[in-house]
Amino acid sequence: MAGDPHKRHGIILTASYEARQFGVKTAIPVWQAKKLCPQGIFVPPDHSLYLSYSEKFLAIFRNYTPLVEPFSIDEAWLDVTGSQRLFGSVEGIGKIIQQRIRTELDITCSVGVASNKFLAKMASERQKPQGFTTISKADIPTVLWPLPVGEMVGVGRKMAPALKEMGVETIGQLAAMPERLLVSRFGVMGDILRQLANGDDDSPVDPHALDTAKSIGHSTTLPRDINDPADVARVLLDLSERVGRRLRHGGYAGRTVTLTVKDQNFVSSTRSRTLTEPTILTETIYNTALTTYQRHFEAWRKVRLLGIAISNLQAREANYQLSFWQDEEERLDRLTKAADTIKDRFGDYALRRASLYENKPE
Amino acid sequence: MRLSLPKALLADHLQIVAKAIPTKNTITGLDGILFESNGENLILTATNHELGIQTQFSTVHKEVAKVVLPGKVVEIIRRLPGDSVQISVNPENYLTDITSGQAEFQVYGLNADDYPVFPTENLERAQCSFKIVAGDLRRALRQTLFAVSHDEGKPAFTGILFSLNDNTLALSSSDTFRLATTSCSVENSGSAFTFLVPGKTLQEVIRIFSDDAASIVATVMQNQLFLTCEDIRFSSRLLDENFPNIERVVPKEFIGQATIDAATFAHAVDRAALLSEGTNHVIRLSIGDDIMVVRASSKHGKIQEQLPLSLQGEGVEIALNSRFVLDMLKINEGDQCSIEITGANKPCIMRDSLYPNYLYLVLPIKI
Repeated sequence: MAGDPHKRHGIILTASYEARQFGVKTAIPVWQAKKLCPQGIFVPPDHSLYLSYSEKFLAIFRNYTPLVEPFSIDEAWLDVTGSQRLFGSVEGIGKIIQQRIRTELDITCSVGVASNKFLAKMASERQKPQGFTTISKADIPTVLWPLPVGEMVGVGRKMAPALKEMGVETIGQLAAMPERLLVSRFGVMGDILRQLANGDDDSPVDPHALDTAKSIGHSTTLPRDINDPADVARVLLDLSERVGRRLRHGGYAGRTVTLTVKDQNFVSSTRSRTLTEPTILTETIYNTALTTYQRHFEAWRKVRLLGIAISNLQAREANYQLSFWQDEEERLDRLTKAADTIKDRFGDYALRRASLYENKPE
Repeated sequence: MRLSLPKALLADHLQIVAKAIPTKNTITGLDGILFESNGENLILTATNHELGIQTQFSTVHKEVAKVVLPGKVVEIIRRLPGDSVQISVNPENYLTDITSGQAEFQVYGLNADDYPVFPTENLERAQCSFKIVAGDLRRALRQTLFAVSHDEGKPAFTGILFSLNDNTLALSSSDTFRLATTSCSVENSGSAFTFLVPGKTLQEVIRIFSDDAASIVATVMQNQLFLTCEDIRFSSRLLDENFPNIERVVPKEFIGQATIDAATFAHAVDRAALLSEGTNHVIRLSIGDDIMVVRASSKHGKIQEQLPLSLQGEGVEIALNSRFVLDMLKINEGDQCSIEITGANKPCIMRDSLYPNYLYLVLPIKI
């Protein structure tokens, strides 16, 4: 599955198990994938299709326990501790669910059974596709510890080499590391990783984990690299508008604006600024992102990707403190409300900023 | 330099200048205190780009010498075991011995020639100069400082506006949600003048000029405010920002005026604040003929309390930030506090019965 090379979204988003045997993997460019696997079939992504499947198998899960925490579009944790009297052993429930997904939805899935979320996730990764793995606490030294540290959930592409530098190659070595060393290198994350490597994870299965957004963001890979300040500003305004609209739609106000820039050499950098008061205004998001861009990124650098996110979210309060000398802001507030009402009724494109039409890069 | 001083005296004076020591500084030597003995007095100076403080006291020593000692010296002196302190400085390398009782400190001093000169006021070049009683200035600062904004994004509101007109000095501050303005009488021979002083440095004025009966000479010169009171001198940078017009936002008429016992009101609001919700800390005041009802509610519960008051004119139902109300009640000195009402969702004015010139304007929360 790949993005559209003409819009320069030409990377492999994910690959089938067959294609993976040829070395095709996530995030490599389409041209490279075609070289590795010329007979491959390239399909564009269909997000709404995946969402509909996601909802279908989540519905199946919820037949067996209300404690279902979606982890990604195709993964979820289930706490079936309290369901065993109704549906049998934990393994039994796992088998039933796997079978139902196979017969009712005609897709395969891997199941991991363990006493906590971390071990269950590690177990589900062991055999794919259609795997079924149980990891008990006693299995940790034989099953978990010999694995390369890079395969551990929570250790990403950047952390694995850093751990290697410290002489940590396997999960077992990580488990044996002194806490002090890990904390001094990775902060609090270091301690958490060491606990996970020992198979300790007491985080609950939280069915509402995804209900409250932590941040709202949009990013776009531009059809061509740009460095004209006016073009950059327009893209930032477009992104701010989308972020602002989702922010207001969700009933949030946000305080921290984060700007992500990837330049022509694929070097990406992120800068954040926290406002004194939470905002809901597109204009504030835009102005903050723009000043951050002007302050931190050299004007000559050509930009390939721009992203804006707002975090530090809180529920927007129904009441608001009146103020002196802030007529401009109150006017904007009213304007934004009116514009949102129009968009709610006639669609997002019913009303757009004039500056986004003129010389729009695309 | 060889000095022998009473420890408590030196410690007190160091405490005065301590707040002007820069917390982090790129210029070596500036993050210390200048010790200067001029044959009669020991002069202590600390300065950063925001403010400078200088204090002096007489010593029996006739020596003329100076050295810059690190900011740490404030704590060093304070914690010495004996009643007196001996300080001796090696003029070659500024190595400074500080001894008291059985404790001997050796501190690395610095050449004082590189230390910035404490600016001296020059009355001929002054833009304005006046005399004020320390107690009046401190009172006016207490009445306005709390309403200063801490938002660096609104620099004009991080200061207090000083407006000098004949023999009256008005102080005003606002964070755009409320506004405090007060005045005091001064001795002024010059013309009218206004200037804006950062709230942060003025906080120190309340602290260092502790003798309310003393008289302070204030001078504005070269974008700096100087305050001199006996042996203590203070200088602050001014803010080069435009403070908006206050007159425009202060209501001239009101529909009702309520008078309430200040302490009772403060206690009730303090209780209600426990359950005032959200970032706006909302409390609701229902002002009726003889009674005010204070209400607050949050996800944890609700409170309501009735207080007696006397009302002239119309009452109101109004929602306010409990912190804003408490800020004023904390500095209210009179027995009574009055609330002037201009309508629901409209500003209300709180006044201290002891200071008729004090005005605290609070904007309500729109529900």
